[in-house]
Amino acid sequence: MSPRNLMRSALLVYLVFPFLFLLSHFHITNWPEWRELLWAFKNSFLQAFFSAVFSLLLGTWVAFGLISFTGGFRRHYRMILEILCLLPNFLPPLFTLLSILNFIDPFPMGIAGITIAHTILNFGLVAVMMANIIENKIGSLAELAYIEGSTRWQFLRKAFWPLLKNDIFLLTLFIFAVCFGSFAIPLIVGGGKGTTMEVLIYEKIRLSSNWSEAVVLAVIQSAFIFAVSFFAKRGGAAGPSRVVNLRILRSFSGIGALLLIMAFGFLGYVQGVVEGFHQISAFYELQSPLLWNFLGSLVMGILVGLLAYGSLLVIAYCWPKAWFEKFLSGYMAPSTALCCFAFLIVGTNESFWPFIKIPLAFNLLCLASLHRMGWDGVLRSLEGQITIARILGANSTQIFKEVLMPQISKRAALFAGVAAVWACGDYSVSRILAHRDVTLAMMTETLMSGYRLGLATVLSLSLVACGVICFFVMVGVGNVFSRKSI
Amino acid sequence: MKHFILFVTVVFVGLFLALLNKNDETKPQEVKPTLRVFGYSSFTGQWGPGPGLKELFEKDCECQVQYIEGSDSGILLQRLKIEGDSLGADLVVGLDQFDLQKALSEQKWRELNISGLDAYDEVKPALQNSYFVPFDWGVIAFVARKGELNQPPRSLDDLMEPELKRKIAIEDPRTSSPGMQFLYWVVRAKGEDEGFKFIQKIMDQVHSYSPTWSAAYGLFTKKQAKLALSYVTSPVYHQVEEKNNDYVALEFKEGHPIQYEFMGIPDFCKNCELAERFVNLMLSDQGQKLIMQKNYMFPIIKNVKEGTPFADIPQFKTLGDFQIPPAQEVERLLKKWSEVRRGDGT
Amino acid sequence: MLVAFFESVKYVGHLLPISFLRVFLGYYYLQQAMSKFKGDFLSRPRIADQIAEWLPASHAPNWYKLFVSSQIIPHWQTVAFIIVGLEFTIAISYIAGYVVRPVALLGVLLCFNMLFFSGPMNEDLYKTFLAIHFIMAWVGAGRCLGFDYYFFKRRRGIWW
Repeated sequence: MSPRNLMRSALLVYLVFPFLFLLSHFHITNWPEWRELLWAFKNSFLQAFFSAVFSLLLGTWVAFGLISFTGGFRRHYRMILEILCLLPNFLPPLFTLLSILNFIDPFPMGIAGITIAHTILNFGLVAVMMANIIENKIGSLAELAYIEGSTRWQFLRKAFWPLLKNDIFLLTLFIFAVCFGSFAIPLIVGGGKGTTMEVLIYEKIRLSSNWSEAVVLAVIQSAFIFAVSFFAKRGGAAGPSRVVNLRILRSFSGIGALLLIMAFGFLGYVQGVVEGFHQISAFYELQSPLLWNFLGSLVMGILVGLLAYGSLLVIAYCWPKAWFEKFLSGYMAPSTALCCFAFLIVGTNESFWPFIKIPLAFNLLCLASLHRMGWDGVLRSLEGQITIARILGANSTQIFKEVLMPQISKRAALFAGVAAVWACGDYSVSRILAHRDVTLAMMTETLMSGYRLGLATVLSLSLVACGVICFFVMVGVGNVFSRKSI
Repeated sequence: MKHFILFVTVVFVGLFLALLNKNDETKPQEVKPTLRVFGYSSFTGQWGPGPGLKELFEKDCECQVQYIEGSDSGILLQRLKIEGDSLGADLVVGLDQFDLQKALSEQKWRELNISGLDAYDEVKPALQNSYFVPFDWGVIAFVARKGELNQPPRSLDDLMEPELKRKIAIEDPRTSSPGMQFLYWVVRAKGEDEGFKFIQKIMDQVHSYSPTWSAAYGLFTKKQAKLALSYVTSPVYHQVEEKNNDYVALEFKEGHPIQYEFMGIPDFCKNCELAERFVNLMLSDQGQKLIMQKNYMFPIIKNVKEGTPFADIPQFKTLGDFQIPPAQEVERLLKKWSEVRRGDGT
Repeated sequence: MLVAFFESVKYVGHLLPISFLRVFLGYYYLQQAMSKFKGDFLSRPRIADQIAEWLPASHAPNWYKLFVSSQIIPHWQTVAFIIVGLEFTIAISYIAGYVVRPVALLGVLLCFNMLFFSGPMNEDLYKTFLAIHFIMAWVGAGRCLGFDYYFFKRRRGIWW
């Protein structure tokens, strides 16, 4: 077996490990009720579908705003706006949700509620990704169309949609998969009509300790996403990156929409922070755990980042291979609870093991998202070079070290940085796998469960700081390896 | 730089591994016994009573106390079931009465010999159990802000008032213990059939069913909701920590359910004697005071709350006789609740 | 690499005396680290006791004293681990002559702290060590009779 095949198989085993392990550990004795399953499936599908569509629409509008800021000093504004877009992804979902509930009052419960919450949570991410797609894939064409005197509508109809429809479908699929597997939002704002597959899995574990049914549900859920991804076609290749004139598409109203949503949406959060500052003296007695948990978050974020960076490079090393590509685009990790329990049961949970298991579990949960977020596109755009290098007689290791690595290291680090940011804000994985509060996010959750919402809100600011540090550490790692590999 | 970082990392990792190896070699002679207490996060966390109890206990036990966090009582039980003795817990803290039956059916527990406690009358029935002993209790009640409601509700039926439409924050009984208490409260106060009709009607009044107590209470403190299902002791937190007297717990004429938090020693315990001593500490005056002040729950023994703000909390009428609901019964009620919630039940 | 190790004597022979001093200091640190590792330095709060005894009388600034008493004393186990780890790092680095410059800076940092943690009887010793570490970092003592020469020859830069 060649090293590439070995690595492909190893990655595949790692990703399907929770399913294999849980299926063998909990013998499947009975199947979930069809009626219940269909009901939850319908809800999951509807909310994910609408969330994906609305996130895409709103995200595209905001993306048209973001592309107004290119080149020169404007790119600094762009960076601020992009951080603003990604802010909901930095914070634990409960804070975002409380802010949204503050903003929309009365809040519609049920599918509509879940859709609104998911849209507000994801549109920023879509906007950032869409802006990149537009610039990299049809930027030059947009410039040409503008010079030739095309109208915006003509361009949208004749170039934007036909050329980007596959990318848009992939982006929709990405948001769809994220929303399909979302747990906290449907549980809180789902109302009676909002029992999704993920909530049902949790019910099965929590209420009736029915692990085998829960595992079956998770398998069905993943199989569905896998099946849907088969319809996805490859996205278009990216062109050479340069600053382009995108006047034909840009729209400052997108920025207005972003600022409006953020201003209203996060007003509640800012209020919470201000209220929390009144109690800030309480942090005095917490300084020691605060410092250690901050370091814990940093370590966890960086470990997840490094692991994600490594995993993405492994994917690149194993690229291209049709079945491998299909598998990665269709793979959906099992629910967080199931995945974590699988890691919990394997081996010991003492001493330093949580610091190994948590990054492994988190990496497993987010790798597919990172891949769909654009890593596949990055690798596809380099396939031509890989083919030429192979024809010229380069072996896989040479191709990876000398062709791919200098070009992909920075992008891999960027994606790994996103994973690190997610890891900093997450407490659901560490809550199950760690024996005590080891990160700021866990501490935030502990504070919330002890009346101290204000302090928790203030503390969440340090989560943002921690996320930013981890992100830039990863960017630095990417830069270093990129330079070293040239 | 890369060489330097790698070098330092290798040396430290090497030392760490050597140390692990060394500890294993020397364990039998010099390492103190470790009492491992498995509890929920707000008990073991910095703000909970855990650290204080640990300090008290370690003073004269010639041992170490190590907490293992298990998120909440539901996850606690699942981990106990799945990990079993590999979890190495000597004492489990934080089960409520709805978990007890399940805990008994899934695990073997050591009998506890607790006697001579000068406990409150409300707690005495819960002490009859031979495997689990309560360490605190709370009266479940709705909490409101003073003056915000024109007519504060005085009974479950008053929750249907139009001014409370979509303004009540309740916990989801599938995921939260107070939420389960509310379901049981309604069923016991109104009977099962009437109770579920009431549950169906109250769906329109509820702002949302939050997965955790903290989310529901967060909605309330953020003024998204006018009422939150919490504890009679909740206003004391605002009085003590925030010097805010605006919060009040509302007494209902049906009587209120009581939530007990239990602890038990699993049969696979390794330091069982230490676990028993820790149980005794938690039931001592000192331990009870600490638990009361940190958990904002009532102590089970008398005279502990005297001279503290807890003594001024009005005594609410409670539902009375304590029961350990059978696990199947809890599951059945929850299934029925889920069906009502989905709109295809009664 | 091995050739470069010995070749260095030929090209940067003027550093030879200092490289002997380096190896000796490395050996000293190795002994210190081994005795701490074998003893109970890592399992008993010796460092915490030592700090509690000597820190108040030291010339350390107040903020430093406050930091040490609130962060270092409660986490003596981690601190003891770091100290032993640093001593091993310095020992191996000095003996092998590998990454001596940055490690010497770590040595400076360690000595600075130990100056405040240890009593007046050790003050002179740590001051001397501080100066030696500083010189090691300054001259790049690993370039002679050390692996740093190999890297210095190929990569240059300030790290060797």
